[in-house]
Amino acid sequence: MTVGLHHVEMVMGMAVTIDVRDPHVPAGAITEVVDWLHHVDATFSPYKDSSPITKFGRGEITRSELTDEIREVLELCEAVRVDTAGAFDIARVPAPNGTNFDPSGLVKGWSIERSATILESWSATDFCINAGGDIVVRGEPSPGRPWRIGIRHPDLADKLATVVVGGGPLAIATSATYERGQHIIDPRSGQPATSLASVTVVGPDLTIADAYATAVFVMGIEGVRWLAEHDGYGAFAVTPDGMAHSTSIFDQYR
Amino acid sequence: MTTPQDRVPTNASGSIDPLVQARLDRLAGRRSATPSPASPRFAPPAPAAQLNRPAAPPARAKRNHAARGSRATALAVSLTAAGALSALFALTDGTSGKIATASATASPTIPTIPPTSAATVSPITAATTPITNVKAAAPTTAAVTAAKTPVSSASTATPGTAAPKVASGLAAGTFDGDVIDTRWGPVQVAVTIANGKVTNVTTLTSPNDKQKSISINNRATPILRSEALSVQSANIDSVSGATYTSEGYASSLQSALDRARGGAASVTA
Repeated sequence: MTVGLHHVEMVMGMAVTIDVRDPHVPAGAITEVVDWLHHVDATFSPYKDSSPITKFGRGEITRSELTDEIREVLELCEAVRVDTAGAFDIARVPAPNGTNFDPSGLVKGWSIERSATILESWSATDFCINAGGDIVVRGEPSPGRPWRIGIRHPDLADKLATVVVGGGPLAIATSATYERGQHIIDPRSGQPATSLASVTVVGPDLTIADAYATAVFVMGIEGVRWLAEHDGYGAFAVTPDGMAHSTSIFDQYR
Repeated sequence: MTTPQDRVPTNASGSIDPLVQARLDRLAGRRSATPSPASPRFAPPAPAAQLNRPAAPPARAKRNHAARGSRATALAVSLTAAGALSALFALTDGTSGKIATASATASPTIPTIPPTSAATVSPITAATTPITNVKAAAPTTAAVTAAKTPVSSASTATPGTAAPKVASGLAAGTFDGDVIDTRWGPVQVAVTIANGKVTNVTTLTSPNDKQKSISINNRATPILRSEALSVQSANIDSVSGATYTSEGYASSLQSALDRARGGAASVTA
C-alpha cells in the first residue's frame, strides 16, 4: 500500500516524478506543482517560438518587457557565470531555437526548487522530486530512514556508480552526455566538453547544483578541484577511463 | 481560474524573491574566494545584450568547515617551505629582472653575486615586476599560490636597520612581507637573513581557521563494470542521471522505480 502521493508528469521534454511520502497531503499539491511546471515550460522553453525566452534571445522583445520572474532567473544565471568564470554561460551555448541564448541549465533546477516550496506550502515535509535525473529531497522517505539516491553508471544504463545517502534539504544534479547523445558545449571555447563521462553535484540548492554540474562537466577534473573549494557543494566525477573522483563533501553523503 | 504563476509563492512587491536573494548572497560570498572571471561580458548574439549585470550583493562571511583546522596547519607548513625558497630567489635574482620559480626541486643554496650591475639593481625593483603577472594568473593549487606569496613579500620588503650587503648579495635583516589575500585567507611571511643566508622564515599571519577545504580524493576509485551496483541491492528511492528524454524515460531505472512505488501511479503527458 502506497503512502502519500506519487505522480509522473511529462513536461519540459522530460519526466518529472513527484513522490510525496507524507500521508495526508491533498492531491491539490500535485496539481499546483504540475501547473507550475507547465507554466515554466511555456515561459522558458528554448524549443517554443512563443516563449519569452526565445523572443528575448531573438531580440524580438527587450529586457524591460520581461517579467520579474524571468529577470530573477537571468540574474541568477549571471551570478553563476561570474562564479564559474564563464564555464556556465547561458549566452554562449547553442539553443534549439537557433539562438545562442539558453538558460535551461539553470531553469530546471530553479523550477524544481520552487516546486519543493509549493509542496511545503501544502505542509508536505517528506518528499522527493526527480526532474529528468536532477533531484531535490526533503525530510525522509519513511520514519528514521534517510533518502537513498542512486547515481547512474555512465556506461551502464541499468547500474549505479554510487549511492548518495542523506536527509533533506538536499539536491543532486548530474551532467553527462550518455543519455541524449548531444554535446555539452564549453561556452569558453565553443567546443564540446569531453574530458568527463559524468559529473554529479550535491548541495543544499538544486538551482545552484544543476548549474554547477554543467560547469564542472565543462571544466573537467579541474572543475572538481574548483568545486571542492565551495562550501556546501560536493562533486563526484567519472572520467572516460572509468575512474571516479570525488570531493570530501560528496563523500560525506556516501 | 488562477494561473500557475498566481499560485506560486512569488514576490508581490516586485522585489527579488528572498530565495533568489539568498542564492545570490551565497554566490557573492563565494566569489571573494574564487578567481575573477576572465572578462566581464554578457554578449549574446541577439539584442539580449540588454541584460543588465546584477550589482554584486554584499559578501557574506564564509561558513565554517570542519576540516579547516588540520589543513590550515599543513598549508602553513607548505607556505613556509615555499616561502623560504621563492623569497630567496626574489631577493637574489635581481639582475635578470625575473623571479625564479620556487619548486620542490629548487636548491636552496645561496647564489653568488651577480656580475657588474648587481650592486645597483635593487632586488626590490626587480621583484616588483612579476607581481602583475602573479596577480593576473588564477592560482590553481595551494603550492602555486604559496610560492607566489613571498614574491610580494620581497617586493615590499624593508630591510632592517643598516642592512649591509654581504658576499651572497643578500642584505641581512628581517623582511616582513605584505599581507597577501590568498583564496584561503590573509597570509604574511617574514624572512630573516643573516650572513647571506636565510636563517628563518616565519608566518606572521596564516589563514588558520579561514582556510577552505580544498581536498579532493587523491585516490580515484575505479567503477568497473563488475563492481557497479545493481539497483535491487542498493535499495534506492530515486536515480540521478543525465536528463533522459520522454522516450528514454520509459526504459530508465527511474521509471522502474516509479512503477514499483506508484502502483496506480498517474502518468500524464
